[in-house]
Amino acid sequence: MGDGYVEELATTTDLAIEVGMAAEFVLGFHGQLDYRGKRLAGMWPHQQVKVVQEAGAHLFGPVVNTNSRRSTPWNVARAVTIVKECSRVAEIPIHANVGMGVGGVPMFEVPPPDVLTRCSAAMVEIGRVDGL
Amino acid sequence: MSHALASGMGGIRTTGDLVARMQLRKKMRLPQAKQYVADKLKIGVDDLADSTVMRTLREELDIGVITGRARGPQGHRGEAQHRRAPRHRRAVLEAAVGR
Repeated sequence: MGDGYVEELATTTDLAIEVGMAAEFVLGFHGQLDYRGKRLAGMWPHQQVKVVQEAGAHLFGPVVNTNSRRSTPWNVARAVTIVKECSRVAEIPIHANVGMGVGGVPMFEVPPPDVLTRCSAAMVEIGRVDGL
Repeated sequence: MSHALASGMGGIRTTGDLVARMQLRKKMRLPQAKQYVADKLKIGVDDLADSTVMRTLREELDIGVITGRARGPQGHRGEAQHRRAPRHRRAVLEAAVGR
């Protein structure tokens, strides 16, 4: 983001650009990176989306990592809480990451459908995402 | 597959492809994109995810359905056929997808 790849693609091509994240919280070792005066380290999805839409992206993909020491209800609740605020402040569509180990889905190669369907439905109906 | 069944719009089976296109092309949020597509198709927002309504309408507009039809558009090949189609048919498709 800091190098302006998104801006360049948005202004010079006709591509629809989706910017996703690696974690719900930008870690401290990115403390020296900033975008137009905003330090990236420490940003949560509702702050990340502001930076991404300012850069000109078409879609934002917030991600909330699953804590494998906690239950699925705990993880879904946490993921939806964070994504709901992100969706509330966003002006561009939000496509949340909901897969193996993110978005409340357990860290498992083949996520059980009953868990997966609950996560995606909660993300849409409560988190108010525009896609997954 | 689970995501699609639990929270999807059905893609080309209904209007999922058109709504997704509006998100990608015009940065529309979901409610705004649904309303835009519904207005263009002159149907209600509730009908957007109704596969019976949309099957009939998509056949009328000739913008592709979930199963292949004889002489009907089919994926990219269908789009290529459409480019060669008479101007009024092309205008209907372009109006439907908001170009």
